[in-house]
Amino acid sequence: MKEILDEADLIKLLKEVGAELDIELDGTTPSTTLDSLGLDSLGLYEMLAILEGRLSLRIPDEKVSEIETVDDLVGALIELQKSQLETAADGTGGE
Amino acid sequence: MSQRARDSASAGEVVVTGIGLVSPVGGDASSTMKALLAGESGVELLADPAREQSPVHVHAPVSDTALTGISRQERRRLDRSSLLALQAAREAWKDAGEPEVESDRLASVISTGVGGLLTIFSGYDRFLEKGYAGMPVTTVPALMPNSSAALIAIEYGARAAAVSLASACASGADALAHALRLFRDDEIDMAIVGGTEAVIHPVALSAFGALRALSTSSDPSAASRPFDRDRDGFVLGEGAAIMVVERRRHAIARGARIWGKLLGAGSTCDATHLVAPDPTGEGSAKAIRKALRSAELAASDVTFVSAHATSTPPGDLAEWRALRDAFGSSLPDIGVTAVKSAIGHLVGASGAVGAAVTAMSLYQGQIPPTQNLDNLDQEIELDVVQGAPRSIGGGAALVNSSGFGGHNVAIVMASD
Repeated sequence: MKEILDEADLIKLLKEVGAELDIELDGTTPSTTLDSLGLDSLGLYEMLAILEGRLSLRIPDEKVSEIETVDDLVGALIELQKSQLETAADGTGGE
Repeated sequence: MSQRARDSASAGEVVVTGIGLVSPVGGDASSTMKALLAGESGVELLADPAREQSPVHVHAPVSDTALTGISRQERRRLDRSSLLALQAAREAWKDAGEPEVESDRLASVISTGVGGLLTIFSGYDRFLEKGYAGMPVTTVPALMPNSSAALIAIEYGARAAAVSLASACASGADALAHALRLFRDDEIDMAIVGGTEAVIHPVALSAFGALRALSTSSDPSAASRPFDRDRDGFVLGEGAAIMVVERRRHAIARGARIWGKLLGAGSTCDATHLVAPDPTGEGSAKAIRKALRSAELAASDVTFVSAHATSTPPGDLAEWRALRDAFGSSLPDIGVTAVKSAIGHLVGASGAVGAAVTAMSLYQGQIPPTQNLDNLDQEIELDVVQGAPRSIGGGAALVNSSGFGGHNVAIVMASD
């Protein structure tokens, strides 16, 4: 079964993705807003698309609009990984 | 007209105060002009390994080292046509002295003949490789033909209008014609205007080749030969030309350097064939007459013509007939130059390149020579500038342009 990436793992992944997208993530704190990283909506979608690919999950549109800070993003990714695991364990999921 | 009325009319004139150019012979306006005056060629052999099977062997690319003002993020997100446009726009804006202008009176009019073709192809390659989930989110914004116009509007806060006109190879000239209309409707005080194109790709080369529009020469320095007896098609090039144009009173109030004047524009359509030019050149002649009327000039006022002259057999012949009919007895006194002999055909940027080079010619008093004119087509009687630059003492110039679709656009400019 797939392991869930925790907060530390996700921050590490974010920094990797940030480097690919030329976004400086060193020195960010959980309350850092994505706006202040110079991420416009296109940049945010670009980053989310890469994260979705790496984590094999899909962030619902209504969730995307709630993400303002690094903490929001990490929290959303943890929650989505968990619900994906639960769905798989229920056996009700599937492609 | 009284002196006061004349002063007031000239204060409303539209002048060119900034020029930016990325071309196959130079990464900026001054290096491009220098190369054109020196008779250098930007045409090269295709590096494509499949070239041996291709009927097309040459192209006129922009060197990657030319994109000095473009960030890594822009390279990743945008189509090449927009990178070229941004590079040229930033040069033009700087050249204009980074003007202060009211946002609601600034327009961005940046045309392209094709749009983000390379993004469409790379997107399709990616789709074949990764399927539905693999598409970069930047795909749609990058491939839109209006992307460059909007990007430049965002960069400089052009809130009066941002538009990209599509009239194939006349698109760049149509951008200038449209901007001039915005001035005459008193919508704007300044415009960032021009054209961009980046479609050098095996699919585009073979598609234009299938229309028999491209030269099949394998000699880069001789392939583009406008008005020459042995011309056999155009050479596909890429690049962008963008100008800052503004009302004279606006330019003078801020102490701007004036390259030249944008005096008039005329557009028509052949309405005869989707790609072939009307062989009589009638539509093009009408566009030239309209442009002269719009500039309030006579044919005899024109010192030189920057011809569309793509080097296709029917196109150059139709253009000669248009020039003959529009200029009549004045034509023998008018020098004609064909920039495409040096840089190939920049499609939707070509009319804007013609205008930018013409503005520099008027300012410097030098017309660049036409290359590869070994034997003037026996049907054509034009005083083609060749061998060396020709010195002029200013005056007015006409930039001629035509495109697939039967579009004809003529622009009249003059030295200040």
